[in-house]
Amino acid sequence: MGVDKRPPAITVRGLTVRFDGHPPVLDELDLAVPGGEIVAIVGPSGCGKSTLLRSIAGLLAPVGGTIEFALTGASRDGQASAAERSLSTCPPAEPTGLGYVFQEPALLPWRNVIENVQLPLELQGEPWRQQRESGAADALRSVHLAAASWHKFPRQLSGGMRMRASLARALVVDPDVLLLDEPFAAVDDMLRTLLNELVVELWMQQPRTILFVTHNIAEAIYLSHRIVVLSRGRIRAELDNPLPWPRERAQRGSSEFADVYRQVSSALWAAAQEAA
Amino acid sequence: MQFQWLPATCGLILFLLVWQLFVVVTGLPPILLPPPTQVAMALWQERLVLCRAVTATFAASMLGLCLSLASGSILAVVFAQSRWLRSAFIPYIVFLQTVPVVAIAPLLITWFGYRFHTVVLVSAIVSLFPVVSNATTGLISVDPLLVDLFRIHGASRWQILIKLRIPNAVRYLVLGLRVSAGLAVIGAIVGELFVGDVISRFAGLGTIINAWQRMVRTDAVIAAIGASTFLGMAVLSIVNLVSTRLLHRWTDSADFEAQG
Repeated sequence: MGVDKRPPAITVRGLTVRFDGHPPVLDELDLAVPGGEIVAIVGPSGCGKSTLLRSIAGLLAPVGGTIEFALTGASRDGQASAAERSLSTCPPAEPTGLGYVFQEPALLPWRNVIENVQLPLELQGEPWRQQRESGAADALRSVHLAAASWHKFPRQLSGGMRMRASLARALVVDPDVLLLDEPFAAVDDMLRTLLNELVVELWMQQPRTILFVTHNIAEAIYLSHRIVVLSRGRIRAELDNPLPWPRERAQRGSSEFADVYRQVSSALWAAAQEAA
Repeated sequence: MQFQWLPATCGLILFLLVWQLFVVVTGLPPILLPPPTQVAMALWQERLVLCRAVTATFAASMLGLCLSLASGSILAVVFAQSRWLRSAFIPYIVFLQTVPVVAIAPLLITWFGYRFHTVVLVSAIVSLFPVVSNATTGLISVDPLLVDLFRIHGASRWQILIKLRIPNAVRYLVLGLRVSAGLAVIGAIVGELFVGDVISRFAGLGTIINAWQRMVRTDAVIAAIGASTFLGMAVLSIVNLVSTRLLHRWTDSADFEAQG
């Protein structure tokens, strides 16, 4: 267990998520995400990583526990929403506080890039088109998507460009909290490295609270302040990441990196064996 | 398959030659099977009647298609709202689809009279199913990730319908419309077979086929059948043209042509 350096931006207490007739996916999970830090969540497939993120985003109603956001002051009470869950509705997330990036770019195929990036602003009721466009343009510039591609449709772009557009769409609302749900799981190694560096760069520009789910240990180490090992719905280990900032590509080959890698890897194996 | 003019023309000429030869060799009476030359003459003699008939049938089928597009889209939006509604009503739409129009046309005449709008109604009923089923599929088969995205940003049910479900349904709807276009022409002609009134201004292809058949003018009947085919193809190409224009946001036209 690491020592909290900053006050938590997200506090999860006793979070329990269960789908009818199955063992709980998340089992009384406690987690504090310090404000302005990147926390990587690693764990074997099916350990509840995505479920945790989806609960925090308000896409799933937990059967128990609470999720509190320090920055927006909002909280979500599991007990209260249990009734709503039976009606298969969930409370919507706090509109402006969250950005979410999925494993797939999930762009609307009938909208071009800049229209896709504007979507969250439209949904949140930004009435001025000019305002939306300039917001989208800023977000697109921040992820280094060249203006030449702004008016192209997703099908006309490469996988990497689509992922950048997806990232820009999450950033366009200037979220306090960014939730990344295995965003680079489906891209090749080189592109993954480049996109990892982009996340580092974005965080250096503006240190948002980022919760990053991945099954790639190297990625988890490169990007995070803290690494959380999740298995069978519970947190099995929490490690402070000693790698110095700013992160650079060369660090991936350092002995320090290799040490952390061994630690995370053995924690993961231990968690997996405990589960089995 | 790509349409190639030269082989297609050769095929048609060959077919007409065999037909002509068959009639000459067998010596069949023209009231049973007239040779293509006689059909061509009938086509020329009756060109004005045929033109008016094609126009009337075209109007009826286009109106029928528009009616089924409008009512089908509304029905689809209603059905997309709940699984219960779909289970409650879609079986009966399928049922409506399997009842032969020929069987319900007389009933429609009883209700709506020997009128042009009865023909439009028959055409609409026949062409309704592909619109409803495709549009409903398009409205409900939305990528769940995209629904999550909308919910994360606090989208209302209405926003999800307008900005996600309806745009998602457009491609499906257009594919349904292509099937419906052909059916609308068939429906209009079937309607006219029953409703037909040669004297009225709305004497469509079905009407004159019926009348000429009674006068044993087989050559003219075949000419009218040819005109019906031409009309069907014309309606289909209009729908294709419109849909290609409409779909530029959804697909590069090249992909879409390859699919269709």
